[in-house]
Amino acid sequence: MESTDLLEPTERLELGKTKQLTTQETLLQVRNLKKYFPVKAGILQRTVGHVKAVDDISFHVNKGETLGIVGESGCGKSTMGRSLIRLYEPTEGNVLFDGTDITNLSERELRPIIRRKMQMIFQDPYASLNPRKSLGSTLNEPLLAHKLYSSKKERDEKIKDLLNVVGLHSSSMNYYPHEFSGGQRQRIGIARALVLNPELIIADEAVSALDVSIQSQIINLLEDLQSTFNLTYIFISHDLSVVRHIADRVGVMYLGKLVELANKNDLYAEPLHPYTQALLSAVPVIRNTGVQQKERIVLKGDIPSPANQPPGCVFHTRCPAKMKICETQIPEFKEVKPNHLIACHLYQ
Amino acid sequence: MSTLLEVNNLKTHFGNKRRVVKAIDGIDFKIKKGETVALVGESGCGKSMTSLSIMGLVPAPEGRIVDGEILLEGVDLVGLPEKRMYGIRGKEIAMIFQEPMTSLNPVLTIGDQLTSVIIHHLKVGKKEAENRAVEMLDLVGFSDSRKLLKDYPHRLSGGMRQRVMIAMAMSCNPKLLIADEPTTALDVTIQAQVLELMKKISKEFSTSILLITHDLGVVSELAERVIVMYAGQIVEIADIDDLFKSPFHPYTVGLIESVPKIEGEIERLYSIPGNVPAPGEVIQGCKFAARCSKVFDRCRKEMPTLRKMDESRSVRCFLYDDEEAE
Repeated sequence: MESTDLLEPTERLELGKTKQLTTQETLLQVRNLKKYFPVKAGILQRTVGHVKAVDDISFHVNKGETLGIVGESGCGKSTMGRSLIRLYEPTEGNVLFDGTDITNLSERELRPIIRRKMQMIFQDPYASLNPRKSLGSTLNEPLLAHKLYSSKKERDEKIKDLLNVVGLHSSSMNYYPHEFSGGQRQRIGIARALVLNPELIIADEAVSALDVSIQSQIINLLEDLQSTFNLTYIFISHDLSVVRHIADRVGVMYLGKLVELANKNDLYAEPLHPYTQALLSAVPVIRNTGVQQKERIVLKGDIPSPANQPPGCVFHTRCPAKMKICETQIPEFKEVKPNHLIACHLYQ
Repeated sequence: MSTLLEVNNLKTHFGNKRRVVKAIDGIDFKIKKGETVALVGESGCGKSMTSLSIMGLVPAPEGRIVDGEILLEGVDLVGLPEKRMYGIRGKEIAMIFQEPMTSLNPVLTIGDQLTSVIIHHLKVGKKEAENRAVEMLDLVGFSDSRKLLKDYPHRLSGGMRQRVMIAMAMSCNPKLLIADEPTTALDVTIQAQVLELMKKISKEFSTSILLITHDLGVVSELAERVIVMYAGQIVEIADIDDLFKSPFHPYTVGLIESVPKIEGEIERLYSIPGNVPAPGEVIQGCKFAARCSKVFDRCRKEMPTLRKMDESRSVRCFLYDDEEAE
């Protein structure tokens, strides 16, 4: 079947092999986003400190592009993704979706905007599906909640179409989550995210739990869907190779902060931040792909706890290029080359 | 180099008479002294079960080795009394696992756990065992090892725990180290630390390493030879350079092509269609036939054998069969 049948006439787009980035319209604007979790102790459960999971992050996402977010565990990349669609309430800062500030809207006001237009795909699709509901009723629920179609027939039609789009048989409507393999479940997770025709999809480690041969199927599917439905992705992952493949621009996070943000080719060819350099050099490279392993920068020690961030630049405890100023002053996140932002004293 | 470990026609099955899951369906390979061999495959291909079979740790009674032999320097480990296996596990063959937290005892100190292995196998006193433990912890890169002996595992980070596991595994100078996904749970920068350490260890101790992983990047860093498994069988054995330069088996080709590369641009990723066969699924002919791009009639009827191409290379595929070539 033709996947374009699904689209409303106004939404129909030319299908191209390559992604077309004709518009540079901003879809999502994030300003100084912060998410602190209180640390409580004692009988009275007094707040004794904060875990700064996301600490003063600003960026924007253009329509139709894929922004990759990379970082190691505990760097706050998932918390950031969840704060964007208010699964977590941000502590401070603003998130603008298509020009509307969504940070202070009530749940009722949110519903037509982010609950419909922003969707999320999770790492473990099994944990995010109700085991007691058939696939059909799981996918039906959002359609009912948003009153998008009046008759059951229309809804079923929509769901069947959607299952075909993500590469599942339409008869799988009557099956339950445990009857699918890992790769198929991730396709269900994608179908559920697509059911309301969203504009922005946040994929949090969407392919990390899958085997290599299944992973490449899902990556290809995500790319196809993007060009068919003109979707915008925020692709959160710890896997630098996957992000390089799928993203247009890449942001690197460390301890709750964005340390570098650039077009992917600039970032991978010439990383500027010492952390990005170390991160990229640490990835094991398959031999005979025509490249030599980069001189490896092995970072000493572990990531400090986000509850007890070091003063100054958060990376200074492990940085091979540390200077005096790094211990006391927080570097500003600013543009040092066209479209290449970085937070490091070496470039200020 | 002489052979350290030889696995012949090993079969490990699960289940009962009515339903048998052939987790390992007849595998043969050798590991030479001082060599690092990688066992690669996707989940459910039997790579972890291979390591558990070698260690004599197949969960009984549902799982058992039904056929084959595992020769460690000529001694068959299959059917060896549990008492003798005690002397081999930890001393001759040591193992490190993916989850370093679940393999350390949370209520004992690092020191207790390290020294008990050393006292048991090397038959030394407590004082001497402690010195040995400190020596090992220094080797894996800790700076204040003596203090660390009194610490509990929860105080350590993931990378530190994995280094403790390596120290413990190496403390009795094993002949074979089995590393089952040693870096999968770790972050890239920590993974780099552990990989450097493993390289150093294989050089300094000339220990043979059996590395089990799904990550081809890690394989390419550490291994000299690679065994590719699919659905309980070996489909290809090759030297590392040959494997990545010219993979033979269509599954190996697909596996290498599916991985996004950190260098260079690919328009579209190659993907192997379909799914890994479910455990216990009965397949006639070649197990990869349903997903193979080069499949022909014979593949669906007959099972290809693992064919030796030259000294270091074997492949299980009819494409490389002389009969077909004619």
